[in-house]
Amino acid sequence: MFGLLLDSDLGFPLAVAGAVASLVPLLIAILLFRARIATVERLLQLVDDGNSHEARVLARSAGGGMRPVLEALSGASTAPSSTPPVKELFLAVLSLLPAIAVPIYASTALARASAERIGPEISAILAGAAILAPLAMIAATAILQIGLRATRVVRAACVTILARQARTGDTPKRDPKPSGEMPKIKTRDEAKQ
Amino acid sequence: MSWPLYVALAVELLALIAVIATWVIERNALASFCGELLRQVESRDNVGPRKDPAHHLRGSLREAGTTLERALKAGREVDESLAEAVTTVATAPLRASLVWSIVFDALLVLVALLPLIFALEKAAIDVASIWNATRGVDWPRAYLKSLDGIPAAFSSVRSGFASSALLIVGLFVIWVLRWLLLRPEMREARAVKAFLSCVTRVQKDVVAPLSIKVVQILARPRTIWPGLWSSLAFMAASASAVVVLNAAADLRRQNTVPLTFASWPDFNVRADRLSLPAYFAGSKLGRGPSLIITQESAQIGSTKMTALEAGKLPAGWDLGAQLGDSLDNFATTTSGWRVHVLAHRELSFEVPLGVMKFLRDRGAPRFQLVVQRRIPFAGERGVQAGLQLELVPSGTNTNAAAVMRVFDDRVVVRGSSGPERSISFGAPRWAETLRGAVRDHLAAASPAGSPMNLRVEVRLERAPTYDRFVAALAVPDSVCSGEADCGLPGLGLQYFLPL
Repeated sequence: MFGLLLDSDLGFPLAVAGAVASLVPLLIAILLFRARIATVERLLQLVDDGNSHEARVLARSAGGGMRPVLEALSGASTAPSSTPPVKELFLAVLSLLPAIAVPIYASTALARASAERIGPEISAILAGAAILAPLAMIAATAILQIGLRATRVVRAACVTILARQARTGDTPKRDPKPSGEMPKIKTRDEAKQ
Repeated sequence: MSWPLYVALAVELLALIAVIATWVIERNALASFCGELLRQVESRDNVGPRKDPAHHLRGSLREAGTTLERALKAGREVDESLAEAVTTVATAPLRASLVWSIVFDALLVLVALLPLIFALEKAAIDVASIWNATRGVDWPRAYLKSLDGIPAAFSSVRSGFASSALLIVGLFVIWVLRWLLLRPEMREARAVKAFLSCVTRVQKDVVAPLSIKVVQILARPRTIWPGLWSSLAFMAASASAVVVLNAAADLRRQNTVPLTFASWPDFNVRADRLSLPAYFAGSKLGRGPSLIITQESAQIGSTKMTALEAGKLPAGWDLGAQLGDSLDNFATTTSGWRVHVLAHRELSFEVPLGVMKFLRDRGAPRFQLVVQRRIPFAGERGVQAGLQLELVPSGTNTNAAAVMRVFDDRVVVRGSSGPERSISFGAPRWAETLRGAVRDHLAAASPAGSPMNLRVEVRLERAPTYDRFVAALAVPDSVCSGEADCGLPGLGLQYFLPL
């Protein structure tokens, strides 16, 4: 099958491009997952060290995925809200697209292929589809697995924080709000004077 | 090839059993943990080796169960331990490692797509071998060689898609069941419920404010939103499926035709109120004037040549045939053209032949006998094709691979050697027999490596109806094997009629 693929001028580059396009979202999902784990570990470390305010800043800057942790750190004593793995769903759809788009593009590109090459190109497209279809679907399911795992990691962090709060009865205070008038920032001219 | 389907079905069945078995084992382990713990606490039997109540539990559940067990056996305040056990369960991943989960899902996906992968691979190899077998071969031979192979290659792809679609449904059933029974939140809820129930059974008057607080924090509020979003997603998916199926209806209808020739020109010769012979043969029509012969008259283009008398040409009609300016330069203007012959099916072939002889004498010896094709994708109007017939002077060497003598009730076929074969029009499977007889002579007259000889001589012995004459020419030319018009052009046989 790989021999048929290598013999082609159209099918081989398309199959390689499709495989790369399917695997890139998986790579992005893995990197996002690692980043999320690192963030969660850092957050819990900050909470352990008593730096709740800094932990809230970190959770807020980490994006929507950390919203349940931010709520827990803000003193909400309710169950951690669920955050569907939207990013991962989007990446899973992206990784499936090449398996659909590449054969469609290849079949239209066949019309432009020279008559002498049409047979090997058809064989290569079929062989490429046989590789690309499972690869894309495996990548998509792996991304979804990673997404579900990430959701669980965030929930576990929330539970850790909330359980600690329930034990100690120590509810972290919300971020201090500015009270009174905001300090006026001087302009350059005022500063010179 | 059905073994990949059976293998995949077996693997999916095993996976389904594994999911259900895991659920049952865990549920029983939690129940036996509680039962064993209760028995040991109530009997207070400290003599001899005692079974660990949590020994059936795995991973974090075991860790949590052991914490709880120690507190209950010690008879001390259980609140802190219960809260710790609940927290341990709620913060644990409660599923296999990420790599193992991905490998398990990848295996299931691979298994579900196994029939499709095999079918695509087989099709790729088949197409490549057909291509290699037809390289350097002239097109009629390549055409005949690939005629059965290509539809067979793609029919396996179709069945592979169908099998994989079935297996993907099975895969979704496994995933849904796994989601319902084994997702971490469900396992967590099951374990917490078992621990709470166990504690209340062991210590009837237990007070555990911390644990209740932790459990309340864990319990998700019940809202309508997940159900609502799921319903909306289901409706959107169903509507999308209907839209896609509707949009692809034409394509699927076309796919039911084994192999089609989609580049028929959108060029039909007008034949009002004339029912043309309909056969699955003929090549696409080229340019040329139209000879239209109804039961009443014969005309070339829009110029009437003669009226017919009781379906026959009147005696001496050719002397008075009026073709006007178009006849004056007929030989010049029709150079390289083929005259399209459209004649009524029930007319005797003598009538069209008489007019064709008239035109031959004026420099137009080559004709296309127009047949109607009933191709499914071509719509009501259909397309037209032409059988190539040339009138040659009697005694001309036609270099034909086969000779067909046409009678009103039969055809006699012979080649350059071998015996004659007589095929009656009324005989069962006469068309297949006639096609096979002519094709045998064509193959015998065409040595390997040389272009296929497609020349066939036709001799008219007793004139049949026009329809039957066209049938005798169309059947050897046709490449469709079924009852329906497959849409493919004929082989392009060149018929020569010596007169």
